[in-house]
Amino acid sequence: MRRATAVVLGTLTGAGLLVGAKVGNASFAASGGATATAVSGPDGTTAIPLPGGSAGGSATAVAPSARTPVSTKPSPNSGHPTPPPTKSTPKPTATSTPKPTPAGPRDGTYKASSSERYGTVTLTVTISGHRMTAITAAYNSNSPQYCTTKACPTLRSEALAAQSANIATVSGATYTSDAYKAALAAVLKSAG
Amino acid sequence: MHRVEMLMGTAIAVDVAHAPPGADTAALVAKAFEWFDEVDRRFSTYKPDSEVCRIDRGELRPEDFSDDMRTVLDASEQMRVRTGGYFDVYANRHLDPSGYVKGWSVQVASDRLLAAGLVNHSINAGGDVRVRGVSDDGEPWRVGIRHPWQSDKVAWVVAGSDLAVATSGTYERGLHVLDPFTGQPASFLRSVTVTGPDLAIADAYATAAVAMNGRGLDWLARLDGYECAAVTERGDAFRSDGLPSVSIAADGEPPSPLRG
Repeated sequence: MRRATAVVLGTLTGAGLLVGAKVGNASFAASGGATATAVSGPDGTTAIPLPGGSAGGSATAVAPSARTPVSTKPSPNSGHPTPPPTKSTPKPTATSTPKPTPAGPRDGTYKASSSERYGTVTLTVTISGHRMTAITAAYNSNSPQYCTTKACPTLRSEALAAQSANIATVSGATYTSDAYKAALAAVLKSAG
Repeated sequence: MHRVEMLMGTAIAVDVAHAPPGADTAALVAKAFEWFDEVDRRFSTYKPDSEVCRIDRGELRPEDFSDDMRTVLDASEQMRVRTGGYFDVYANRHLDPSGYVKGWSVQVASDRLLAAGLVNHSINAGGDVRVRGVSDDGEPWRVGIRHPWQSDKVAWVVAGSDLAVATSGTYERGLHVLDPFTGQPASFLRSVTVTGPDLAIADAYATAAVAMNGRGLDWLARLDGYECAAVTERGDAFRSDGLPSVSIAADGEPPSPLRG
């Protein structure tokens, strides 16, 4: 386990999205309600936590194919009868030559997906010089929807409408005057 | 009456319908715009001599803050806690309470018009809307929620006689909402609208939800006392069951409630 590297993804709805490296004796846990828990490895490698919310998620670990993946699967949701089906699509693409005794997370690009109710998030983490140098997140909201918690308030999915209407005013992210004037013109047009 | 002015870096429109006989509507509306001008001078992040900029530079001690500033900063702190830190007036490392101030100043102006007897009015400050009473047609105010790709279309219409409608999104100013925890711009939600009783809170909630990216939808679904409508960057649309939306009647017939 000592040299193992893990990338752990908590579901966005659940235990909080934690991305971290497990190095030597330094370990981390994706715990329910975690918000920001930086963990430093012996060589100063730092796990980068992303903020999360309440408990109720799952995690999937992915490591480069040349290595043995180390999976950490917290189960803050274990009290619920229907644990969420976490879909993982690991696409590790290790980009560096293995070193005999790496002092930290193994270099490479790590990718993992985690499904949540409204979609799937895919995180790509780059380890360079045994340190995490980049994280990108891509969202795909087109995946099946499901409930991850017992009390599960949901939003109603609808087809996005694009219509003219008889309205008095418009709410929008219209911070510029030009945009506002365009919206206002649309209002006047529909009102006329 | 209808009056629009450019203030606080945006357009502010005040509409008054069915004013009571004898009311000096023009004077009351003028006072509302004086208020917005005062807010702009005090809270602008672009004017070096504004109170906000002086505080940001450390030139004012907390005991010297104005009452309005205390109100705004205290409320902003409450919003930061309520949103799990995603609404943060220090998100860009400088004091910038404008995400709260715009909605708050409109809410205050609306409260004052109501107290002065103008019970039927609508105020729209750059897309943040507070309506009360009825519009000229005698019906509750209908507020369109702008389509996030087509600026001349609406995605929903909400209606109410005592309603705040705030929208935050990425389509107008680009990816300007930062996730305060990562410092990265949020991009998952293209448009988030929150409706409810208080415009400042609705605006803060909408901004926070955008900053949350993928978690924003679940968080919005759990709001108490506030409803929402959201569109993802992929074009998927979601709304809460309690959104006071009305059907968009193409034939001009009065809209029917669609409450869930």
